[in-house]
Amino acid sequence: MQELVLVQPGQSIDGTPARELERTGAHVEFEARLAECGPLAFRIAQGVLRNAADAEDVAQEALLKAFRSFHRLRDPQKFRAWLVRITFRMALDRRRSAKRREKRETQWAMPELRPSPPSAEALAASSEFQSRLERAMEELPEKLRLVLLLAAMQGYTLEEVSAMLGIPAGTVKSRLFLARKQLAEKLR
Amino acid sequence: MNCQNARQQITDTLAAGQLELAAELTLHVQACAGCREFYTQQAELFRAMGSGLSVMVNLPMPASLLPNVRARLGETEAGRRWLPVLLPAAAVLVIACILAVPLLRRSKVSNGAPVASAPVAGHQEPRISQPEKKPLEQAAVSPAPRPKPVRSVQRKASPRSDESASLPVVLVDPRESAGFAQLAAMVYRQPELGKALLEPVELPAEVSMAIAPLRVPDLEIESLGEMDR
Repeated sequence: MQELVLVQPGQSIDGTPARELERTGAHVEFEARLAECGPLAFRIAQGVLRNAADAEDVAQEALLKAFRSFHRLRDPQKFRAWLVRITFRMALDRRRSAKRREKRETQWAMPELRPSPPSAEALAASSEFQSRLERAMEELPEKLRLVLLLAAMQGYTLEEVSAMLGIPAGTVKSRLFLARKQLAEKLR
Repeated sequence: MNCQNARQQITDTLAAGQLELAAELTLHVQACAGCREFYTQQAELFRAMGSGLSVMVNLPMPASLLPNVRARLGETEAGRRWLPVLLPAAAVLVIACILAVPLLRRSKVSNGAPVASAPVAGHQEPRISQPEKKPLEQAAVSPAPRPKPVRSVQRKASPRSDESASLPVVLVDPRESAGFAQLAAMVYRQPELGKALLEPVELPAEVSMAIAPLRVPDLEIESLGEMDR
């Protein structure tokens, strides 16, 4: 005998509102993405900002922003691509405002003002070459810079980078080629 | 192959991420000391670039990042949970404020304005002698059939915030309301007629009757509805 259950519209059989279930589902899905893409967001931000604390801030903001737009970013590939773009953009903005602030402070502060003590990662990468590399990276066009950063990340193939950026693998290759060449010219 | 061309190819090869040079290029590098030196330098530069970039982007993610994101997500969710409650409440509050402003203004106006009082019967208060448009219009309209005149009397007695509180309301038998309305309109058009009506009438000596002024407190007011029953 067939059993029929009367369900109030907008609710599941056990009485949990459908919206609540949907929200819970979105949370579970987002949690999975968070674990997968959190490091990616941090690394992109770190590549631009070269300061772990700032990079963490930016990655956090980017991930929260991603959650707010999660309803239209359910597709994992779409999500990752969106996160890469938004993190890179936010990190660039942060870098620019930090530079402006730095400039202002340098102009108005006392000449003997000492620079802030370097962080552990700054000390680790404090060789002269590293600072030249950082400066040269900043001079690169944004498109080339992002490709270079993503390609330098461990664990991502060229195809994955192309999927992240939503561009053909051939375009990634040519951008990478141009980026390396321009960078080498600046460092020569 | 000349050296300029060879150096260009060396750079391109390294920039493309290839480790080995083409056969022709290898032969030139082996034969030309300058190009060999250039190749060694460039290979070292590209290697350093690669490792420098790797150092730049492959830092371990701070352990606090994901817990912080989760905590802030929790805060956001808590805020969202209140939203469906807070939004209607805020809307109701705004509407209440919007409605309250004109009411407050009216009450201020009515506090300053005279409150309707005695002219219940129109005999003692010579309001008609001061022909104001509004009171008389109201008087002309209000006598229209009123099923429960008691209510209208009560309304007069209590001060109202409504603008109409300053207008006199006259208690008239429903059957005479049309006639009274005509009279009121006539008095409004001819104020001297109103004055004449209010002047004491001197009766001839042979007439042995007197008309006492109407006294409101003596009236026994009953609902017309009840009287009909």
